[in-house]
Amino acid sequence: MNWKVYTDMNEKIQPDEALVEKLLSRAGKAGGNKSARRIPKAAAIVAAVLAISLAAPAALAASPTTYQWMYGLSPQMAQFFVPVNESCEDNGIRMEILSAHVDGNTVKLYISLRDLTGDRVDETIDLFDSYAIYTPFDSSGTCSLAEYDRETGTAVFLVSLTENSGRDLSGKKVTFAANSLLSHKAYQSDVRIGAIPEPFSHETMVLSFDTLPHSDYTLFSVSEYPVANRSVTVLTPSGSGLALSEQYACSITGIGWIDGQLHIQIATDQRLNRDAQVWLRLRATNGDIAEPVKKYSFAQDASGEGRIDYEEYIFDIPQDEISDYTLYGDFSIAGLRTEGNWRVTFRLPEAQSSSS
Amino acid sequence: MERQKNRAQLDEEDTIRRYADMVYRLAYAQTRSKSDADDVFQEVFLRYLQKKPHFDSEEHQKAWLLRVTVNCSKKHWSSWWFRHAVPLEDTIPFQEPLENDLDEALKTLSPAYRTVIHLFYYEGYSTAEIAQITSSRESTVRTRLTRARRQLAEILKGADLP
Repeated sequence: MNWKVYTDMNEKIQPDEALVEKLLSRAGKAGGNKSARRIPKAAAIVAAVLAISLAAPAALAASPTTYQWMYGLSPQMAQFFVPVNESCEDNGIRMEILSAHVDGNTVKLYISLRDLTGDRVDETIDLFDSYAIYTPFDSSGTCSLAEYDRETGTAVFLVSLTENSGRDLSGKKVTFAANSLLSHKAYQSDVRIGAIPEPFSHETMVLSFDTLPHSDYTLFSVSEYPVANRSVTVLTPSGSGLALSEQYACSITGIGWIDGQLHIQIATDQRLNRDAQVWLRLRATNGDIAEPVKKYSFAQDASGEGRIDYEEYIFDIPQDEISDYTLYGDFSIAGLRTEGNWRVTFRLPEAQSSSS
Repeated sequence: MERQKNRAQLDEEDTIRRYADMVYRLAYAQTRSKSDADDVFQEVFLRYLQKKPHFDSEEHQKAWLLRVTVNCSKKHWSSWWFRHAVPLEDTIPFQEPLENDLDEALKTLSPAYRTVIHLFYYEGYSTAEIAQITSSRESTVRTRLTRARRQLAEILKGADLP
């Protein structure tokens, strides 16, 4: 293969001039700019909202509780959001739709969660796909944690909705609902697990994205797109496996070689309940690190109560060098799962008109 | 003191301008996403500005920046956010059909494979030098190059690459 195409392609790749200018403006500061950091994603979303809406500020009857956080983040941004102040309470946790901004077929909402009786809502709070956004129109939406106020124990989420056919959403009814929260997450990074155990997997199986519903295993994701023939080969999970971490609820259910690559398979039954996560890497005796070159995610009994989630990590390690490597991992799991029925229906405000 | 301060600023500005394209191209080669490449690019130069490393030579400086780019991309690759995110179509569009074909094919490779391809075929480093930059064994680099080439060749069989 002639690599000139690759070279020519790369000659056309350059960073945006604005990005370079921003870095140049930080050059020469003594000791480095300790506060120099990338714009965090929440503030980047705020900037995008300001860029979208150039309207004069809406006439607002701002309540201190509603806007205290928003003005703390950006007084300019707060002016473009209309207070909603609709809330509900269940299991001692209050959910409030703080404010909304409508611009044509896009909506941004700020929603808060606060534990009125304890500290179940902390900075690791995660709605973990238990939320739903009900609208009378066809739309797509996302929800992410924007801010956590330690003083009041209040988490604020930013919800973004886009109506798919370009209609104006002014005055439309929306319902935001959630039924479980994960919090008190524990994280440990770069934990030394130990020498790579002797490979004990002797069988493999082929999983496909086109697997029929009655099949035992469901393939969810692979690390590279697209994947040839929409299928991958994984180790057949061992029933017993090797215990890896009781705290993080995971075990090694497979180690073996497929096509000269080392596969290490991890299983957990706490993926859905407590978002148990593991990330593996190998470290050589001289300190070199080998990250996995591929990762496959699949589950057994995916829709049943006995669901087990598997992550299979694939490493490019020569077989005769395996004894030079030690297994390391990053672990995460939620310490608390809180159930409830939080559901708020409200009407969106009128859209902000653009200034001429 | 004022002249020294200006000299330091000029040196840092010169470094950023000189190596901006190199760092960005490697970041994009690894992530194959414009927004991710933007993030990695910023991270690399912020580290350079904060740490203010001393270099013995231009080659030393170049290798340091490439190594940091590789490490920042790895960190990005294994970040919790990445693991939860749905892949988005966030690539740079190329005018030439062959370049688009190659870009699509590169997306099917793992980041580790894309890294060695880029450092070998674009930056012109040897496998020994790539091993140092990526903190890998030279044998691992050779294996990845072989597998990446084979995988690309298989995917691009139908493409009329010169």
